[in-house]
Amino acid sequence: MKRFFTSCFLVSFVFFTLGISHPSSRALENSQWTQPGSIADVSSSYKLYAFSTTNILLTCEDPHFHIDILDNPESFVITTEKPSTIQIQSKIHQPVVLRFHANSAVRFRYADPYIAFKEYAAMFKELSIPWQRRIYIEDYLSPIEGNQKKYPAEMFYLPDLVTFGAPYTWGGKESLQSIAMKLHKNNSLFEGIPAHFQEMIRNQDVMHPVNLDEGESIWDPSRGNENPSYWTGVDCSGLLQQCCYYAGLLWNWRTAPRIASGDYRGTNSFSLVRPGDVMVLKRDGIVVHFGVISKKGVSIPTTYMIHSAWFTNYHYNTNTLQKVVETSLSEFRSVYQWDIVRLSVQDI
Amino acid sequence: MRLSPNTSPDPKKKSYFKELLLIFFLGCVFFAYSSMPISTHISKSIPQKIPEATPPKIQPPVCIEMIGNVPLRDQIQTIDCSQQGPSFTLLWGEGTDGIGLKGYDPSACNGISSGALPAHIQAMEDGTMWIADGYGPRLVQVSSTGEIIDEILLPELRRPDISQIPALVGFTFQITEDQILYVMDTAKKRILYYGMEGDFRGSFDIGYIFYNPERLLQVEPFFSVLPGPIFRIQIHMKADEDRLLSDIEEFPIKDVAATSAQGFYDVPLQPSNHIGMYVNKVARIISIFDPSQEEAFCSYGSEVKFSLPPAHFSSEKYSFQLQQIHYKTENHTFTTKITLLEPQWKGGGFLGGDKNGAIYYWVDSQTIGIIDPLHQQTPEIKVHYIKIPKGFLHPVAVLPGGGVVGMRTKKETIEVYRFIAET
Repeated sequence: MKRFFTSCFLVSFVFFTLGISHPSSRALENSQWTQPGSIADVSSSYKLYAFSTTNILLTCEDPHFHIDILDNPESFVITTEKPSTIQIQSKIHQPVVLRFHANSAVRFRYADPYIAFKEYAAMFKELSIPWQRRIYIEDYLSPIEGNQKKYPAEMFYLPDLVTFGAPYTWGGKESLQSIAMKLHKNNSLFEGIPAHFQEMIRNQDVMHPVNLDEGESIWDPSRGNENPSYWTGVDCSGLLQQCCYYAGLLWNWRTAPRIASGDYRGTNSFSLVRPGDVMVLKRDGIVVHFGVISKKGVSIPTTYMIHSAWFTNYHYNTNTLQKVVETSLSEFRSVYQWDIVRLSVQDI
Repeated sequence: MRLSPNTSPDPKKKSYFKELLLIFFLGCVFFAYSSMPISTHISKSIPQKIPEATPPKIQPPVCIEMIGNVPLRDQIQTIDCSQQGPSFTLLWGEGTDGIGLKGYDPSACNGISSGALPAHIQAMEDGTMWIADGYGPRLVQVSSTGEIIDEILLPELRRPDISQIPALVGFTFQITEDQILYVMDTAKKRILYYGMEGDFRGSFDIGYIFYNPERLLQVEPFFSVLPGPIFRIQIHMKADEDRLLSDIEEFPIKDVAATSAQGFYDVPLQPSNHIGMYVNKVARIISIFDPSQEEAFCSYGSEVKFSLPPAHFSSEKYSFQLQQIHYKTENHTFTTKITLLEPQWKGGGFLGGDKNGAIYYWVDSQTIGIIDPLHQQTPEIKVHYIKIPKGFLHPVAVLPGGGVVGMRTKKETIEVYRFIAET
């Protein structure tokens, strides 16, 4: 009997010891991804996702504030002169799991939210899933001129005109999480219209209500609902809005200060433009497109932006299937003018 | 027991021994080769492959460097064309024997909704010009008075599933002095060659630059053809760690094993690097550059590069650096570099060069600057401006004899403007 109790004790001791010696593994299971903002619950561990090359900044009013990095050996803390401020440098696309030692809320932001902003957009560009091809052939008609159909109705069901993947959806502000969830469906072979295409999520937060014609997306059951939603993607403003959310910027492009303005032939104050600024393209004074400046070059043609390409391919001097792409600003020649604005940093 | 004097080794054993020796030797070669670092293989092999497209004997390049200032606007001779009307008008739109498909739709919010706006033009020495007509797609030759006199169909640019019917397709092209038409096919990532009769002569598959063509993700439409031919292209390629490197000189020595990475929520990513390169027709890399730091064009035997001023100049004072490389003969070049202060410049790019070597650039939305050939310059830069009418002008090309041709698209017509400026 004594031997039995001793064995039980030893087994329990071993389990207990192993349990507390691997706190990070339990923390990983329970913790959530954290976006820039205020973290009130400082009693548990957090995953901070470093998708950017810019450092993570943590601040707290507690003068004794410190952290333990539980996971990610490649990240390390950089000491700062400011009290109660911790800076973490991590490799891109590596989660940092950490635990706070603080008695008040911790504020999390990126050292340079604008760099994080454009690097998050780069993640969309680098999605390795195929983008859905949009049909665009000779019987294209304007959606404005009498709302005529652009394509014959039977064309919506022709599988040979469709490349399966994630389509560009007008107003479809899908997250990367939902993209991941739907990947296997996107890669499935065509067997008629699957039931899940009928699922509609209406997103009211669309920047400009054009292209709502039937057939703009081949999966629309009716006019005005160009948002197949079960197949996913981002539109131009949707991309930037989501990138703002993860980088800690406000999507306040209407009120944001204008840094530069002009067109492909010349832009006033062009030297002030920097990566992370937002390109607002206009035609006849109407906002028609958005992009984020990804590289600032010596001139407009050598300056690049990342954007979700909502227009069809001929417009670009290219016959490539478009999705979220990085292109030179000089591809927006002809009739476009632009403002370049700088969004505000989210107040945390 | 006495051994026989002719006890020679068994022939079978002898050949077995030879095989063993051969296997041992091959094994040694294998281990020696595989233990060599990858970078050693490549760095040694690449320079040996390059000379195929470079001149056999390269003399030391002649290079002149100077600093120059463009005067203020009121001191510059300006050709005022702001009130000039169109030289001629082209028809375009549905039902016409003109350019494009439907015509321009100014009420469409999404840019040009229904027609193939001409995206690219090139003016020829005989006074004609070639227009990239996205509907077809095709190239259309227009006389100096506006008649359509020839066309080259480009069905190779269409999608395979609709290859039999005309389609709207964007593309860029360049016609070289030896009368070869080069067309960029960004979808299939290749450059197509045609004779000026429209005869398809072949293509250069850009993916073959890499050991694994799948590494090439995207090709940008803008390219130029240098004598050789050598292509100046810009691409996006799969990369892993090296996308974070600022020194792109490590390409292509650094190989990439990983072709995908995990992003937020484990979304699969294809990390990419944006890079520019000079390659010849057999996919050998001549040199590389950073596309965000350098712009260039090539015409009439000279290449002009446009880049940031050297680091020791104040970027606030000096606007940009121009470099003009003259390919005089096969084995002789000379280069002139000018670091330039252009106080009126608003960041616009190049338009091109004329046959006299003058360089055309956008000063602002209504002004085109013309800089005389760089080797004829003094620190007080010889430059003059053309003031063009207000409104959009696209596409635009340089006239070989000096000046600019541009298009203004209206609902059913395309107005063609010629601004002559002899250089």
